[in-house]
Amino acid sequence: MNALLQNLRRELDRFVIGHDEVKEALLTAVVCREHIYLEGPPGTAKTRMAEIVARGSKLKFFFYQLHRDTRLTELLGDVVLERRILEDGQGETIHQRIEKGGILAADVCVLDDISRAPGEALNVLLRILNERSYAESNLPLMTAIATSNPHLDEYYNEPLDPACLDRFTIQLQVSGLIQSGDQEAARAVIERFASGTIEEVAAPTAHGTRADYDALYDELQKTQVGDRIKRALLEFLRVLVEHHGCDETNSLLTDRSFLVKAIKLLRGSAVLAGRGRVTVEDLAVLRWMTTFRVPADVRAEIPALIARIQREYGD
Amino acid sequence: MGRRADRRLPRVNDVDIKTALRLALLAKEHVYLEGPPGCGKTSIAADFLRANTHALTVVEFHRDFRAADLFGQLVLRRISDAGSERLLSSRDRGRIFSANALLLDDLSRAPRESLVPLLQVLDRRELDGAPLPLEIAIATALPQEHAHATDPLGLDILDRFAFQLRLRGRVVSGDWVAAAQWLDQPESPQQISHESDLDLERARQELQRLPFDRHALSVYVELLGMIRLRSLRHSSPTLLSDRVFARIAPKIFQAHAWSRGATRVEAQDLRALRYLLKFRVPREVFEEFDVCFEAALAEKPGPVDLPALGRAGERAGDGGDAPLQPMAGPALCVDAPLDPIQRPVLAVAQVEPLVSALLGNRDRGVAQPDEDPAGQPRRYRAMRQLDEWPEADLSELVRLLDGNLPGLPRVYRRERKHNGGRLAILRDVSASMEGRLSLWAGQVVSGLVRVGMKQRMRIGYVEFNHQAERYHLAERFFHKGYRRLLDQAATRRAEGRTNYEAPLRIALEEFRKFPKGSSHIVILTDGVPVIGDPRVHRERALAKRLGVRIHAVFLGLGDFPEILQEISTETGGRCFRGVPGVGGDIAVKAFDEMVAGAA
Ligand SMILES: Nc1ncnc2c1ncn2[C@@H]1O[C@H](COP(=O)(O)OP(=O)(O)O)[C@@H](O)[C@H]1O
Ligand SMILES: [Mg+2]
Repeated sequence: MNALLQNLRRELDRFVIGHDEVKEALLTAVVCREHIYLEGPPGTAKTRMAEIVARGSKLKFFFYQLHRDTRLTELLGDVVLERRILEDGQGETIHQRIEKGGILAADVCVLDDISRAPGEALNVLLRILNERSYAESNLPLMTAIATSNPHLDEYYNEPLDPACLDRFTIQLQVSGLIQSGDQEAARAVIERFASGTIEEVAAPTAHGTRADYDALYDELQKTQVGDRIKRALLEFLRVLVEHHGCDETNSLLTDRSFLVKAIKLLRGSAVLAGRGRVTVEDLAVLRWMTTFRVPADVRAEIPALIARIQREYGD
Repeated sequence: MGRRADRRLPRVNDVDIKTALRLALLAKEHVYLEGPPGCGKTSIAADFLRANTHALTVVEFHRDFRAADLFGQLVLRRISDAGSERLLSSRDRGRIFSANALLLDDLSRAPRESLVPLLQVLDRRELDGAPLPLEIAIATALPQEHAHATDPLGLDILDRFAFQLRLRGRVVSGDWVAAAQWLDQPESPQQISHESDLDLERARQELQRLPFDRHALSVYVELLGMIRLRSLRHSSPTLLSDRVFARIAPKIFQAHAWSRGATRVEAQDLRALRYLLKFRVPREVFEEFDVCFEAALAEKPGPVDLPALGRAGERAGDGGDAPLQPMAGPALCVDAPLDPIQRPVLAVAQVEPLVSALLGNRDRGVAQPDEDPAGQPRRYRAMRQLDEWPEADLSELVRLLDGNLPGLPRVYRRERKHNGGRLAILRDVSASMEGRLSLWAGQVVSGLVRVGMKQRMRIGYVEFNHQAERYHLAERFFHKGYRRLLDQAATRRAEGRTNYEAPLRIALEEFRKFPKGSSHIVILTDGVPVIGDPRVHRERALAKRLGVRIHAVFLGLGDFPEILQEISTETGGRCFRGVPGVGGDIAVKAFDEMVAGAA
């Protein structure tokens, strides 16, 4: 694995036990400069992992806890009101503007508990994430990491609508080690805490500057995607549409996501593995794209489908 | 009678509040204390915190509380230089930066939008990158049934408090011993345990070093597994988060072991887990805690106990491995029914078609519909706090700065959609509703309650046969005591004959008291009225006048009764039929669609 990413992975492992897939997805998101959405019950280290990724590099990060009272301006920077006397002394001009901060200035931002934000802030926020520009200028933003609780009666939250979710190329469900009944994993995490070998207060060590990440991104763009891989991707989509009945009413299989972003994720996965070329192994990233984009019953079939295609298209 | 006698059984779940508070203080964890008005929550918490911490900040919650009240208020700065003036804002450092203890009084009154950031800060103990000196926060709250003015606290919010305790009044719980003690010797601050003779910092360092015995760990993992499995059998929510049960609980066991002077954490210290469980698992499971604990011990039999080493030279006179003695003081009684009769396990019926009847086909996403692409809220309200200034009307803001605006400028109003509404559930409990029918009715009721919960509806509940029985909570018919309603849904009785008039009358009278907002009645039955006005003329007229929609869910097997169709059509409601599914659970289907489908 690339040394830069190895360091980041080490920081994640230092503070959070288990959740290998989430960690891998987070690294992929950073490499690909795509947004990622983590959904899971409270207390499953979602926020913690997001925070470690944000702080584990020498990038500018912005952490914001959304709530029902969130104002858009809090996400964008400081509001300044300016009055200027006109030169001819005939009066003054008054205007309100935003001094860029928040997500407008950050490389990585963590939007914690995103589903709590009120509609008017969320709409604009998601538009900014999508376009990566604001008021005519491009943002330095690489990756936004959003977390949310699942939509459940007990949490009194509202579901994000699928169109909002589509802005997050990578989507994962995080489950609790204890609550999911995996006794071994639960035991491992309890033991680590019981023996006090997890540093809770320490901050992650920051590795890697923006320039390092830019170099990595160049590498990503040079990564080769062979015809075989392209055909494997099309086969994957064909099966979803033709065999599983995914269509516009029940799924979100947009061209943007599956013909553009999917390729990017495949390349990112290859970069993570330290390869200059995408192989069938990398197709596994597709499972992070279908989490909330296909019906739940189809989602259950995805791992088997990917495995089959990997076998068929492997060299 | 048997039931009465049961109430005198010893309460197995009695725990001692001071033990819990002491463990919380040692482990530096937060406490949620719920109890009825006047049971002494606030004074116990305040006395304890005053005695044991040195910088207590008390927050009294109210409807308009903002996190800024604690984190720091907004300060506006006007900076002028040649020909221009700039208005900037910054925050001053709020009270939370100096508090080492917080008493969050009456959490149930706090608006949830301010609670979320506050609780996040409690958990992280840092704000804007600066570490906070906070050691412990104790929140008090009224039980749902007393807190009708506010939204219930979600499990995710409660999860920020490791300790969750429920207090009961001495009088209502019939604890005459405690009541007599109180009369003889009212609680005074002096009686509250002083840990001040104890070097807290040192204690915390020592307890962190206490090793876990492997057996205790195995028992703990086993115990969690059992609690989880038992919880799955119930429909009420469960949250066993890794944060609390992996990260925090071990610290609490260490505190427990330290308190009894032990040198390592042993299985007996796991008893402290009961202080964490109250609102995280279904009530039935909470009550079974001791049973689970014994079972987990039996499942993972321990090694033959080695003689305890004792901690040389330290805290002489302490009882070594003696069990932790509860401290004297007010008993903490668990609010629980004391009959051990197994409740039926209640599945939740699929009620989606009913939901769309109740809510209409509105978009339920938080993101507002396209009406306003710029996302600017359109209406205004009066400004309440200075930190709303970025949203204030610009011209008025300027006039304010120039000193010629009386009062504060207007700010954009934010609107919350789909909030509330009222729903009355009328459930037939006549003799024919026995067996499966009663179970199904219960499933539909819990399905409806869960929908209401999500929409924060106030719900009223009536059971009827030849007469109607109105259930209420703290004198209110429409309320948000969802937990209570879910419990009620599980009850089963079937006797008497059917009467529509009485239950409709009761519900409509309640709607009439405040004729506002969306109003629905759902009547669940398997038959037609044989008592009272069979055509319920007066009630239909009243419902129409009040704009109350009456929906019918028919659970019987025969033809859909015409009277139900008439009532619902006339009031703009809809008809549904209960259809048993594969597992024997019921699903609700729209009757009109079924007819159309068959035709
Ligand atoms: N697998 C884990 N490994 C390490 N720590 C964990 C793990 N799961 C939970 N925690 C602990 O629980 C805390 C709460 O997690 P958090 O990120 O706030 O959860 P979420 O955002 O999912 O609600 C973390 O700070 C961490 O200390
Ligand atoms: Mg979180």
